Amino acid sequence: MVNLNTSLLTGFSGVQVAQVGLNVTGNNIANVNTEGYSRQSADHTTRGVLTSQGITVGIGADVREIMAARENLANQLLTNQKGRTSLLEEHASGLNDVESLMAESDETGIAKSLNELFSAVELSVARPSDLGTREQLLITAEDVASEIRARDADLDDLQRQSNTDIADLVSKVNLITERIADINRNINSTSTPSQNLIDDRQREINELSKLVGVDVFDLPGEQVQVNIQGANQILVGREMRNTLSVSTSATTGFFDVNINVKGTVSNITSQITSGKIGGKLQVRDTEIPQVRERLDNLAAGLIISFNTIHQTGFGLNGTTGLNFFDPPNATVLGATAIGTQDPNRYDGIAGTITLSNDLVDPLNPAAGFDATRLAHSSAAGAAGNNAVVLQLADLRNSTAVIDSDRDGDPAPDAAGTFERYHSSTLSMLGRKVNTVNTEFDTQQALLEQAEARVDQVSGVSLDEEAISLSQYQRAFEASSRFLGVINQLTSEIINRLGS
Amino acid sequence: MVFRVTQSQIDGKFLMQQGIALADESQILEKLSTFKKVNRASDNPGDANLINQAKNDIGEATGFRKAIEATLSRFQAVETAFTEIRDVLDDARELVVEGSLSVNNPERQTIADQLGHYRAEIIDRLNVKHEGQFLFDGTVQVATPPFDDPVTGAYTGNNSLYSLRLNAQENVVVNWPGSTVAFGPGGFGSSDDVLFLLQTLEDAFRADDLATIDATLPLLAPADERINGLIGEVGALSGRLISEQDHYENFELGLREVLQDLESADLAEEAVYLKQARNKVDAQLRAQGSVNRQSLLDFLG
Repeated sequence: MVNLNTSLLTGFSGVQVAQVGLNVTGNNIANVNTEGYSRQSADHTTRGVLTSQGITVGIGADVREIMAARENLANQLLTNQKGRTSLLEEHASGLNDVESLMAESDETGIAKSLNELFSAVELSVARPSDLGTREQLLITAEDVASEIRARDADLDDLQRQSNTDIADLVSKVNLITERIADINRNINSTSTPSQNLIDDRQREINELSKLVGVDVFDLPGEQVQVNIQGANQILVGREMRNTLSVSTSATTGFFDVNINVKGTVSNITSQITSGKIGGKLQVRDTEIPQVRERLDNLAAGLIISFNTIHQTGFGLNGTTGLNFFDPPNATVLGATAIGTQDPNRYDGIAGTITLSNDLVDPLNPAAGFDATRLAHSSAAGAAGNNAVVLQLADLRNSTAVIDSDRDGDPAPDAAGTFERYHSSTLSMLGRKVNTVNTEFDTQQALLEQAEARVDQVSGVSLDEEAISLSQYQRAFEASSRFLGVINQLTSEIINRLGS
Repeated sequence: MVFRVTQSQIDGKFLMQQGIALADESQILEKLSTFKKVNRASDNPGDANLINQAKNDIGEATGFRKAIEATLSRFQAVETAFTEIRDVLDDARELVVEGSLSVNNPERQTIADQLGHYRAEIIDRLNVKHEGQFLFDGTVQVATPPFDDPVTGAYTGNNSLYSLRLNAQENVVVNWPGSTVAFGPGGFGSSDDVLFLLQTLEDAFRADDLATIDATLPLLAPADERINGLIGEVGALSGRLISEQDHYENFELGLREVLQDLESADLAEEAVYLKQARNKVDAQLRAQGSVNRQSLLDFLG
């Protein structure tokens, strides 16, 4: 039977519902700037009915659950875009670093030093026996070698740094997957999981995606399975987690990324194509090696062509058979025979090119390079003969000096002169940086759209919360007023009983 | 369709757009500070390639030009030496003609002495040095003068020639071995040998050997012509080198203009762009400032 006591409870339920609503609104406002927070709302329902004398009356309201505004598709899109953005950001940043290291200025750079070397060679053609001109040639040749070595060393440092970063990022991946697995367990342990936990998990997944790029699959019971993007490798599943590790590759000397599944370790380096790790791998394994390969080709071309010619000449002091650059043999040990391509033929040569030790007088090594040992002449005792240095000068215009396909024979490659080849290395790099920067800019817009999409569904709008605040305030006031009325009526009846 | 717009959406968009605007501004500032519109290949890969090519071409042209300059300076010395040899030879010829008409023995002795001086003078010119090197020793670069023996006039240099690169395709021979200059095509002791002719005449005048004087005198004219020919050769080659030098100077100038066009930033244009970029940033900041100020919450209660 409906009575005043029942009405009191009805009013109280209104106050309670409004109170919860106010709390939810307050919580939303408090989290307006919390990344990954999904706007929450109280799901109201009627509390039930009482039927008396054929009349059915409701007995108030209740909060069935706290819901979060969340759309899985939008979240998955955001997760993917974060992975792709991190990949491009890392790729662009790495390429920009490579371009900065290879940058040429009016004062320094390989192009400038090559130019000065050939100018000095040209002047030696006009003044083959002049010691000043010879000294200049030694200095410029040493500059070329030192510029190439310095660039290669810088790129090597960058490659090693990327490698170290990959190991650090893999550790971070494991920490994040551990947290996701923990959250999964917590969600699994309760029938009505807290929306905050689900938000926390989404936030962690997004962080993980920045590192490695993931695909997320929904499982029953609010569980998720997190795979490496585009690969059938599970990082977090139902009540399980696979860790990543790194191991040094026997072939490259750099870290491979492995996944450990039930004690079995598999190399998944090639399967990581997204996230920061993907970007680092691309810079370490593709971009830097491509530039270093071209530096190696340039260095090998200089060594082979200069040495071949210089060995035939005679120095002012009659010395002959001397190399111009070291190492005397630009080809790595065990390279295939000439005519057969060997991708490793000139590996690492850019890091070792120097002016040849043959140009140091063995009887007076302390004096350093000896300009009289430069072999400009094609005949012994003919100091004014410039036939050999003339051939060296011709190298400037030769397009048969770079063995770009690494088969040991540069002639058919037509890879351009030394200077053109290096110019094309720089412009190729510039084009790539430009393209990746543009892709990154576009990707940022896509990420921004994906974030807007999630925000549109899940974000907190202060205007909306102001409306809710106002609604719940009014509801609270009305229910309080209702309680006051019922209380007043109850008091009145009780007071009248005593009179 | 009504979209929900939240504060973080507005903030996110603002931050992204502001990042782009600031990056643009920074790029313009870099151009203004370096005076270059292409500071790295990625700024404009196409132009960067052309800039590198232009720099390579300028470097190559400069190399050729400097080598030509060095050679031209030597050519001047060669031309002077040839001219002096010819002048001495002319004087000697004149003297021999006069002497051949003279019957006075002491006068012939004086002519013989004078011819000896002329011969020594020619040897001096053949031993002339330029930049510390003998001009006419072939390629041997001897320490002692190539015509060190004043009696025989023997040559200790070699007959090798050497070349200079005029461009990537063409080399020209740029030296005259002393044997070619002094002895001519007939070689040492032949009727082309200037020193031999003068020695023969000197001896003939001393010995009053009119027959030899008469026989040798006509040989001086072709020798003189040959030296004249060499002067012409040096002159023609110098002309060619000067023309190439001019070409490289003009070529460099042209390339530097191309480089300037490709590389140099238009300061006025960049200053306008900078102003535009700054206006954009200012507008973004002002707009974001006003967006941040208000929400419905400010109007409640």
